[in-house]
Amino acid sequence: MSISLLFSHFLFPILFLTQGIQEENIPGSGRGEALSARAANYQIQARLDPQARTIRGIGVITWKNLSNQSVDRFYFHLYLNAFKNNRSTFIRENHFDPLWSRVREPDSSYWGYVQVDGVEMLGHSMLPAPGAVKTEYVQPDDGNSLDQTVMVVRAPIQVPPGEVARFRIEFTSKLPRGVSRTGWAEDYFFAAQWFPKIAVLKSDGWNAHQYHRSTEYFADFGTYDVELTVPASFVVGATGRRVSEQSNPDQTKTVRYLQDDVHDFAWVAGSRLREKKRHIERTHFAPLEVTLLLQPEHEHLEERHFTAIRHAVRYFGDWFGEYPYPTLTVVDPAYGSATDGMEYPTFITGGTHFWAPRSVLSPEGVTVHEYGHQYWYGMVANNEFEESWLDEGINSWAEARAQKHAYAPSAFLRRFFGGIPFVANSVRIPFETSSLPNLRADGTADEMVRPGWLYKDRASYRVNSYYKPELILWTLERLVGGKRMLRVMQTFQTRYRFQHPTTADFVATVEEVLGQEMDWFFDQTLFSSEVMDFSIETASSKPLPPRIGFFDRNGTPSYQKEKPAQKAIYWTEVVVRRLGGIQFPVEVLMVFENGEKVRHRWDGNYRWKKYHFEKPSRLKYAVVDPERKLLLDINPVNNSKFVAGNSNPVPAVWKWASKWLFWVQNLLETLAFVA
Amino acid sequence: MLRRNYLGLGIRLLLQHKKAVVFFYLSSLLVAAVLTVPLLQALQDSLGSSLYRETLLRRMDYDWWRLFQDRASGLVAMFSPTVLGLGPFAESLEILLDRSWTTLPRSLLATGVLYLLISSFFTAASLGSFAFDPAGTSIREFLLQGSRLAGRFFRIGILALATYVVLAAVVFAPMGTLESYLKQRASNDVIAFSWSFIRYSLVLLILLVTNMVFDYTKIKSAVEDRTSVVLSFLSALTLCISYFSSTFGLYLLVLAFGTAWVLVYGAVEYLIPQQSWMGIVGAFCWQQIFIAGRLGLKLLFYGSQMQLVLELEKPYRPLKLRDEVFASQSATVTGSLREGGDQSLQPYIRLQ
Repeated sequence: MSISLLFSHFLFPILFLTQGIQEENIPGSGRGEALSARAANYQIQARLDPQARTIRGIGVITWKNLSNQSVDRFYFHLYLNAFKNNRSTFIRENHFDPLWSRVREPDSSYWGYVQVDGVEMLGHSMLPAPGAVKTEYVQPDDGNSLDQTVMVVRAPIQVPPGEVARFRIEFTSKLPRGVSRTGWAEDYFFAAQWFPKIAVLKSDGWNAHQYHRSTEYFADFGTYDVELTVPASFVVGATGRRVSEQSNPDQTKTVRYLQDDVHDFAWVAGSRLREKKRHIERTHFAPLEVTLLLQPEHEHLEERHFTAIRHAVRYFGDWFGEYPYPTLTVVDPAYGSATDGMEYPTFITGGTHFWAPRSVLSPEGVTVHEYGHQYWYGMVANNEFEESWLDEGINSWAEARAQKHAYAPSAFLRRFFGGIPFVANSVRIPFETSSLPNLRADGTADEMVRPGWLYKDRASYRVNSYYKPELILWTLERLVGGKRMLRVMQTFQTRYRFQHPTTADFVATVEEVLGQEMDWFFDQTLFSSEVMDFSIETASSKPLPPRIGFFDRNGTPSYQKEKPAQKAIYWTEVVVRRLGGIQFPVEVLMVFENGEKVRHRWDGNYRWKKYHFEKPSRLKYAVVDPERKLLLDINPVNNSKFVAGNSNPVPAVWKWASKWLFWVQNLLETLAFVA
Repeated sequence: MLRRNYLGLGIRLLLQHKKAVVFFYLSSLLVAAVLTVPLLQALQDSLGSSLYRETLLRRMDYDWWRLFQDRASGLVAMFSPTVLGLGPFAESLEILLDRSWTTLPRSLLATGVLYLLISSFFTAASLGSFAFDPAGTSIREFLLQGSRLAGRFFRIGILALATYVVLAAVVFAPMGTLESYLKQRASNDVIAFSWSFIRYSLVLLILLVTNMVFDYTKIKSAVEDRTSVVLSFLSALTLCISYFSSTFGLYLLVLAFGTAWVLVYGAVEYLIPQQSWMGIVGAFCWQQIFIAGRLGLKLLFYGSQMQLVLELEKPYRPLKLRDEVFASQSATVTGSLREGGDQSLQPYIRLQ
């Protein structure tokens, strides 16, 4: 029997039994002012066995019934069971493809699960004695009986509103090979969704969903007090601040993390991580301690990570209020671990390539994005299962906005030969509209506000969670102005910090701050699958012919035949069309050759609108939405039109055609190489 | 003889056959132009009357490009910012090394085959002229050489293609599988990249050597007037193995010249402002100068390799492109070729 087996089978339980769960550390007991309701509080002791890739843990969950109903059934998420076998709902929704894309038949080390070894309901005034409870798996979303990601604990008593229930749960988590945000890669262990996690009890009952391919999470706020025992040589990072670290005689160490007012706890441990620390000054709080855990081959990117965090802390703080937690840990994930670009409270993962050109915003983009989730998901904690746009969409907008203030747009990048970057510095990816191609491709598959697992497919989930809401918010900002938009978002953030707002709360906040009813906007965007596409269909301008025929003179038809005028008057016609389903009012600008500009506002209701002018100058071009306020417009190229006959030859066409010609010549010559 | 001397002789040979470069260049331009017409039309449709034409004159607009790509299909959908700078070289080389040319649009593949045939014909014409008319030829003679050797050069081309296909299936594909396997087990992205880089480098090396052998196959086929493709190939293979350092050294030297030429192109292209007709025309001219230079380099290489063959192969004396050769002997030979056709070919090789 190996030492690790010996430890895991005998010594570990004994250690727990002797240490016990220290009751004086029950959260919410005087460690500062509570920022949240602290309904779900966890005290966990866990031990990582790097050989077996398992975590054995004992957790005491102190849960407060904040609803107005008594309950004797308690729902727990066992997210890790999504990777237990290929019949879980998660894998089934991925067409039975287990996601380890490079492996045809993953062996047992690839799969992961969380096994609940025992559940007890601890002392309660209504319990005759601490008692075991019954558990069962349920499948509230799809009835897949083989899915074990939601467990129900049946207690022998009812827990009335306002009362507290305490559960002691022993569990063993076998980490999967890095997959979809969690798992191991070599000696890198990223533990996310690794422990039994109680669901949220709402006024209409438990809100518990199975783990789906296209959903994230939802949980109550609380205090997490977690002790992690890992090999002594491992560097550890986790949610919250490290309050203690002690060496154990068995070549391990135990580190304890504590954090109030968060709704999840994730951690990482590995021997290759390099720990870097900096402090960032704040106005209302002590300096923020930022810990960066870098892969050694990425150490040269340390400064870029910290600069990105500094920008993010500044802009998010200015716009939405200061980040209130004392720490932030940023993890540069191990290669191939599939744990990049993810957010957990006070703990985020980035991701980059060792060969990272400066003009390409990686690692900056992902770092700013995941930091932004501290606000949108972390503090404003919407239900990610049911309304994923509220965090992903809002955060995508906020992240792009912060990046726009901090950086020049990212340059176009393509990697050749497995990683050598080709950077086109003259081609910049605009922050606001980089999502448009996705909206064009998948924007009509679903109405936007919809539970994550009910979207048509993963592409639709991504469009409706990230891209479309981002473009909606950019459009809203351009319509109402930057200052008013920030006021809206500040209000929403401030009002719903440490709560669980819904789309209805967001809409109400927008209407309240803007002082106007916004159904016309939201009905067509949030609650619709229509797209927006305005275009200039035709733009023509020709000289008016001389008058000829009978024209009334003193009430009598009189024949006239004018000579051609020396200065022609032009008859201009512009037809604007609405090709998409969204009906927004829109500006139309006509620019004449003499410099005159005529601007009209079209309500956009009917399918088209025709404009006529008689002017002493030819029309040069017409453009709909000239300031490009409507970033939802999926085709900005058809928004303008030069008058026919005014467009040949077009130098830009020949410029790019000649480059293409050169590209083809080189390709042909290279292919000729083989023969 | 030093490799640079072969190069020098190759240059002199090339200078005597400038028309070969012109033929190669015109075929490159015309074939590529055929593939440019669809893009030209698509660009005209997209930009012709839109305000984006102003933006696109200054720079590639990302929004526009993504929309253009979404709406395009087939060949035109391959238009991307990689047409800029050194992108064309990287992309075409990657297509070659990744064997992804099989996934290219049919129109491009068909035109590529056509180009191979044309290129093969002009290679035959060039090598024939180099071998038998080192002092230069008329256009008619040049084309006659091409038609005389084209058949065997096509067969060599087919053999080379078959070799490439076999290598792709037997060597490159397993290498790709191995690379994936190793990358999957790599502990970090540097190692993962290294596996890719090693794989690409090995594939490139194998292709270079293979290409070199087939170059000598063509040269031997022309110089020794061999009709058997297989025997020419075996003879070339023997030569390359026997004198690997000389043959491959010369190859690498020309490759270095080619790489330098690419870098010069990239630097100059970057400096040309392309926001007016003048700049656009200037950039186009520079691109075409580059292509002509690239093709010239290819022919220079053939010339140098031919000199190397004649130097190394005992039965045949090297062609000496001294002034007197051009002035007297070769002039005689050229004259005899004009009069007597094939009967003068063999004697010329043993002229010295």
